[in-house]
Amino acid sequence: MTAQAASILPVIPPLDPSRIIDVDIYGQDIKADPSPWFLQWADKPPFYVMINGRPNAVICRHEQVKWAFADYETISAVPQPGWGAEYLDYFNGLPIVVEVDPPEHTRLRRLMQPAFTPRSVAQLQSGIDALADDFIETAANLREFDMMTEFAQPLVYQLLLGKAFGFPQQDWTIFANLSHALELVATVPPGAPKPRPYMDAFNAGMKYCELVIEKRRRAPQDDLISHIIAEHDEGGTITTEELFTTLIQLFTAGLGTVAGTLGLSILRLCRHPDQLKLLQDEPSLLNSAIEECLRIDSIGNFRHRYVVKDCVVGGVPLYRGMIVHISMGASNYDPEVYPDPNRFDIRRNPRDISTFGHATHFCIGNAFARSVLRTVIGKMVRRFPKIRLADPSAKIVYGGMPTERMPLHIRLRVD
Amino acid sequence: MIRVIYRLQDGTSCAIDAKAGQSIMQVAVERGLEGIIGRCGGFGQCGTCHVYVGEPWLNRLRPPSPEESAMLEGVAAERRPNSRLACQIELSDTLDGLIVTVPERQEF
Repeated sequence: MTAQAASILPVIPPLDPSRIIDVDIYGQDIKADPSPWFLQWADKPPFYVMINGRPNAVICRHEQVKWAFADYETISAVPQPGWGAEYLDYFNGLPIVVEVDPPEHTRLRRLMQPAFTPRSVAQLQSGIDALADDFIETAANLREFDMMTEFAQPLVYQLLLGKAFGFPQQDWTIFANLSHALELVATVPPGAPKPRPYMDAFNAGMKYCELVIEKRRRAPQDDLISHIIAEHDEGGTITTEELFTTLIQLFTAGLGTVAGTLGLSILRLCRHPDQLKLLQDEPSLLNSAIEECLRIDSIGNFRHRYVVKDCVVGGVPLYRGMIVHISMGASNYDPEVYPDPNRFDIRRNPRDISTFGHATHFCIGNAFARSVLRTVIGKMVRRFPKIRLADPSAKIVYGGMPTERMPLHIRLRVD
Repeated sequence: MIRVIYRLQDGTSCAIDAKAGQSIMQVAVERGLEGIIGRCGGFGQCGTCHVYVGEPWLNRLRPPSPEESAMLEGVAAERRPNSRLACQIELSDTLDGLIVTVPERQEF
């Protein structure tokens, strides 16, 4: 850290040692099955963890999680250099919607919002149906397959790039490279430059967006990108950087999360054959089942923010200068909101789940994600009455971003 | 207390007495009323708390912001001149007796 950065880093007072927990919030165990920790934490006030020598806070109660996402004047989304969250700073300093507070956020969000209203998402349904049917036929022929690499990931990838963005297939690798490159950022030490593959991928992406803007301006289509460009252009010309940022945000936000959640949901159903059978017998439970899958297996365990004003949450002081990790995953296990939270019950129909966040930055793609999950899971369990894990004792390894639970491989049998 | 009447999809009505300052989305969700989802928790970010506001209360409401208006363009049910997002309607005494109709769908 430079002397200048050190001098502006807020000093955090000594903390109550009984509130410091020794846990690696990014460890494989907590990625694989966070429930033992969430069950402990979800009815307790915030605690502290040490990360890279700095005290961080973790907020877990449902009500406190909702507040933390909403009170941006106390808990800000704007990255604070030197505070210690560089390993989570994926976007190379671009003006990204998830990293601004209102009022700047309001403008950026509005530029994307028209593409994600219930009506807009409905326009993608036929594309979702067609891809789901294709992949299901392939799965039927394979009989045994990897749900992640042979089904969920290619399906969502094609859906986003081909149907949602409308890009020709030969251009898709640009976004694939960028998506992979983002994972490298987690390994970068504070203050060190971003890795070469990451910079190359970014530059290629920027160049591509420049061409896309030119093309869509000359010949606008009735699609997401043309809408985004038009929204920008109402208030002033969109820059390459703005379109690139918007597309990268949408692509990276949607690709791993939706694919990962498809995997987590199928895995959960296969591990609870009674619930799987119930869903197969009563298809009207589909929406409730998907909400319960989303609750019990939130793909994001935590989301980080910056404490910019001292405050007290559940009797625990949080100080300016702290990174705070808001746990969507733990919030979904709050027994006051979801009694017997570790019970997977497809009839529960949980409301107000934290999986997609809350308030200002509530996931813009949540309706899209729900449509994909309902369509794909619904079709799979109907088409494959005997769907099951190929090897129920196989250990599932989890990767993705530090805060994510991305199952890397899930082998299924459907015959 | 301020009375709000929700006309539901099944033809029934539900009258709730609520406090000033709450949004009519919060009131509905707390009561567990069918037909108002409000996924984003009341921040105008999801379009799933769409309601049709009865005359004469419509003109007593603050006009929709550009953000609300843009969201109303994309609600699942038909947008009508009296369409509003329930999360943007904050209760006050002037709205006592407010009648809103819940549309047939909030999502597809």
